[in-house]
Amino acid sequence: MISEEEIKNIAKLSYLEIKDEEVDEIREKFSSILEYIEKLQELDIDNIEETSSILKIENVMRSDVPEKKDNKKFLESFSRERDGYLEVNKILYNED
Amino acid sequence: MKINLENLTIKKAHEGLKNGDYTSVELTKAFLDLIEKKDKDINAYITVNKELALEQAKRADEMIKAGKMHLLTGIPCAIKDNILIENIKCTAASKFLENYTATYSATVIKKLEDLGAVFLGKTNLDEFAMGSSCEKSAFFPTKNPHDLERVPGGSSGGSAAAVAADMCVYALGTDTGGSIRQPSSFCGVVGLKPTYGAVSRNGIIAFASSLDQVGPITKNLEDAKIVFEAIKGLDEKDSTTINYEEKKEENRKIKIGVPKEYFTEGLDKEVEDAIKKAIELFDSEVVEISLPHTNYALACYYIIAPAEASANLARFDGLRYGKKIEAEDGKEFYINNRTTFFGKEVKKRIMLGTYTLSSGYYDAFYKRALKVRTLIKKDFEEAFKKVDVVVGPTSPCLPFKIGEKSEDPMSMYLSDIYTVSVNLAGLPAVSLPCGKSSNNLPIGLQLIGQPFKENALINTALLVEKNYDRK
Repeated sequence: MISEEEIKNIAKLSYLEIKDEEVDEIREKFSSILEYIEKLQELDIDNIEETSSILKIENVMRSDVPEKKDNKKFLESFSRERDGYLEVNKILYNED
Repeated sequence: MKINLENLTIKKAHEGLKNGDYTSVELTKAFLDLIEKKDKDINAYITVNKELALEQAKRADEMIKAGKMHLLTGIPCAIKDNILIENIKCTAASKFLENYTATYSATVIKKLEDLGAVFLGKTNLDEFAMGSSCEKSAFFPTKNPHDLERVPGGSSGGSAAAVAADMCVYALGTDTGGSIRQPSSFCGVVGLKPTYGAVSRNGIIAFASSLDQVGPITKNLEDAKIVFEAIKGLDEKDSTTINYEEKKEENRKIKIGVPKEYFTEGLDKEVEDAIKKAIELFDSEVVEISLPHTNYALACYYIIAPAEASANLARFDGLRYGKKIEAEDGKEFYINNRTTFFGKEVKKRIMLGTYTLSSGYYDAFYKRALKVRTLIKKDFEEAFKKVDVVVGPTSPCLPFKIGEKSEDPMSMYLSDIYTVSVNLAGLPAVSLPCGKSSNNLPIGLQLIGQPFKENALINTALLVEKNYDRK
């Protein structure tokens, strides 16, 4: 089973917080899925190419024509707005 | 006059509007009344857009009067609540977006609007389309109209239930791993998942971008074709869409492939019997085929879909859309908002995706899954050298009881075993009703077609549809 420490680390990477009382349940559910997807290890995939998209599309170009939009509507969907900009908290800091 | 809404198809409603039996406003009001009465028990709708619907119906009546009538003009429909309609709330059944109003309309919505469609409301789903039962909606579960103790399937369960309960003429759903087909099967209606690239994803709240497609949920195949034709096509706002014309196939005998891997352990006996009976009805050559990697599709899907979801859902940070909880520190702000407003299933999938993409696990999980995806795609390519259409069950089980599978995630995921490989391979597939179980629950037959051959696929399905009465 996946360790408590690992689960907490994945949560941290995902910008989610796990409460201590939730850890066991998540570990259990997570492990049952991980056990199931282990199945793929049985296959020999050495010379197989990867498929990340089903369509072979290369650069699709279009001209860059600005479209007039009603800014008000977008600003209203912001949680905090100042002078027509989205206001955010300080985001630069030293890790720990 | 009283309009009979029972089993009202697009064609029938169109005739009614054309002949002047009723106006679109009258038809829309009849549906709104029925929703008010019936949806208390079923809970298919998250939002009912009474005002918008009546306004659209009025406009449709003017179009009809002016002689500008399309098959979809004035026809009331329901839209899954992860598809944006400008100025209408769009929640994706998440607490995160409970108070989010869409700032623009999805391309599919604009296309339908141009034809004079009427949007009755937004339907329930599993939060962010992650689920197979509609129980993971952050608001309420939807009930199966055939048995209110059972789930309607998911994630487009609200759309399928609304169609099955005659609370709209047709609906739009989205399908990432079976989310149109499995609920259509559970609710006894028709659901079409188009080829990847056929329909624009612009304005759809993204779940797994290389798998998502929008498609119709309808009362019969003819309606599915009408809606599909209306929403498909190139869109400069979605670079994965392409324009294509499907060549008309001359009247030749088709060959049907039945994968032996689809009839193994885990398939409900009653479902199996119904599917085998349906296959005989095609009156075509039927051959057994093999899709050797079938058994790996679900594992492959549960690496790729959460990986893409973990990236797509990074945009929900509490700042740009919907809710917010204040915090001093920037990072704390994001964590608090994401932790509070995402539901358990969504968090689990974000974490699963983050895990399989993280350094040290990327090669073992994600990269390997992309290679297995190639093998699954090749299985179908090989099969289509021998047959025209692949046929099997849509779901291995009958609609289950609410709460029955909500504890063990794997038992829930297994109900998608026949549908996920179609998304991984990007193919079109349709689910249509093929009878009922002894306790009167619908069973769905799945037909899988070749890329960009939706018409051929539907035409094949039409060979058996006449044998089954929808009600």
